[in-house]
Amino acid sequence: MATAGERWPPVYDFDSLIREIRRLTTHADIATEFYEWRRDRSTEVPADVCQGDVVWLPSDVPVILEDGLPSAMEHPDEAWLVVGNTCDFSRSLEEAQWTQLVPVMSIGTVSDIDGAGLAALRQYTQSRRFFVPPWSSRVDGQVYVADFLRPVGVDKRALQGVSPAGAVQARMSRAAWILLNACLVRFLARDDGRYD
Amino acid sequence: MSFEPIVAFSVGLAGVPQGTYAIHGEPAPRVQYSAVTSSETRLPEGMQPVSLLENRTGRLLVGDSILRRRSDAERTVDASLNYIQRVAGALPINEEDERMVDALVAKRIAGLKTRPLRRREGDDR
Repeated sequence: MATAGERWPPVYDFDSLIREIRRLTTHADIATEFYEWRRDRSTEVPADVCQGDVVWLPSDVPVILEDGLPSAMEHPDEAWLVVGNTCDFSRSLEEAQWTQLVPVMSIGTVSDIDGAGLAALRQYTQSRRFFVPPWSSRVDGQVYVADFLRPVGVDKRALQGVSPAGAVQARMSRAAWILLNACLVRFLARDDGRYD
Repeated sequence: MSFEPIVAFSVGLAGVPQGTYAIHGEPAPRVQYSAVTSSETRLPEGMQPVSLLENRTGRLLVGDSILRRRSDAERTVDASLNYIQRVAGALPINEEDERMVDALVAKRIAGLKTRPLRRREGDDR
């Protein structure tokens, strides 16, 4: 299993990066290749946290509403996706105390959402949410997305202290992490099409 | 005749501006490698993965080092833009899909409660 000290080798071959993205987004059953580790299928528990991990943290989502005042939005799913950098988890608290999470929320069951909606999610043809395949048998049958529009700054210690077994529920495969990275880039820095 | 700076790789000078050393009479350059990774071939020092994502990577990096055509910042900007364009090309957005997923999420969020957090002292809003 990859660790925070050495998450993945750098992706410097652009052609292989594109191949990985296309392979995963056209995969008939993306969930089978999405995670390299799942808590519900292993007795091993990771001692670290990495970008792309699905973590459990029972907290509402802090937001600033239209009146400019801080509020907390209910988050009954209690699942989050780590979008902060893996290397920050290796750094001291003095150097990097915070990381970033986005809430992972169920938008319904597979039967609630029509085929076109499921295809849009599984092929990653929309940019503001990231489809997160079921990471546990407990959530099978539900359709989850990570909401890039509501990132939250979190003290790294919150993920260590949440439970004796740790917060991490699932860890992405290399291909899924490449896809997440590409989707974050597309969300944060997509070009305006002028060079198409 | 077009210049092919990738030749620099064949003499072990990747990422090192040969001309600079020759002019100033400094010791012959020695390629050192960064600790970006230990499981694959390491990258010469100073070469960052983001730069290497450029399609004609090595050629441009070495060429820029020798010819000093672009600054590091210019090269990073170019490489980053190239990366973004390639990613966008590999992951095309469908506006109709975007709207459909927006609607699904909005429907879900509409059912969630929101509570105020503690205000700043003296905030009368």
